[in-house]
Amino acid sequence: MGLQQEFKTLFIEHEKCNGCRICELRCSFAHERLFSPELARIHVVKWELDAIDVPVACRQCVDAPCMAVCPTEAISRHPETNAIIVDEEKCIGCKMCVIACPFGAMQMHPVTNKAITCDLCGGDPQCAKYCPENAIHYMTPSEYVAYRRKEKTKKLVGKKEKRSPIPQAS
Amino acid sequence: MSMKFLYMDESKCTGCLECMYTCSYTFDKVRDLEHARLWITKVGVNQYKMKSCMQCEDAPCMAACPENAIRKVGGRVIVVVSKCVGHGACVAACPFGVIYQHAQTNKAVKCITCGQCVKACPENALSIISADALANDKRKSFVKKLLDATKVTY
Repeated sequence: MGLQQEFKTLFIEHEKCNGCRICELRCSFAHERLFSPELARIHVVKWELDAIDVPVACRQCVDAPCMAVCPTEAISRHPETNAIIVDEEKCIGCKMCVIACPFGAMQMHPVTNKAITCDLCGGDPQCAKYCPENAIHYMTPSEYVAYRRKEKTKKLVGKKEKRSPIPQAS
Repeated sequence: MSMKFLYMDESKCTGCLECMYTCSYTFDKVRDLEHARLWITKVGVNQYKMKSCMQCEDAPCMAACPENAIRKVGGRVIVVVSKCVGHGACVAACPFGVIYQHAQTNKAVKCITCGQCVKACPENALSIISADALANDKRKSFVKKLLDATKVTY
């Protein structure tokens, strides 16, 4: 088995999200030229129990359930970014993809009633670009793992220093 | 207008088929599974799948009808019974096989989201829901799963 080409996807660090919803606004502006969270392809879920905000967007699954379930084969992959794209001409608005998606990332456009999902803005995701907390990353899985490893190490080193302060000679 | 459709929470269904009997009774006044407009299929031990009309936006049945008898009224796709002559073009066009010809009248019948099955379901598994609300629910359950798994504490 040879190495497969890795594609970049959105990785969301929900620990960092402050719930400002700039990602939603930027997403809707990039796709519809309107600042409306309803038209956004990324959604910030406010989880009141833990007082935390979690942005949810399409995970660009390899075996995408939405793609498998579509009766008109309107859902395909972008040849360059490997993002899931919906052909609006072929889509009949049957909502099967909404039922199949385990993340709730597939949704219907409020005006045209056709399926819409994150298309990674054609390789330049606006949500990742404009996130003020840098909580959204556009990376390949291995890049993200390396990044997380570095972040966690930073945290570990910082804690160690705090726990055992160097005794001051007096 | 957003189209609402019949959705079943598969984890709740017990397969009692009361929805199918109620559906048949509502439209044909008989409790006969042959006359139902939704179908429950057993796919495993205590696992059931529901199939019913998805109320498509660009409904293939609507496009296929030569008599223009299938229309979109108030966010649902309905068959105008007086116009339907029983060509069966819609039956062939539907990608889900959820529109069929009535055994006696030969006219097309399908789910019109009347909600009688929702009322009859003893487990509250069925609901008539819009795609936005469903996506919102799914997002929330995913977030719950994620937070339970990662156990972020502050």
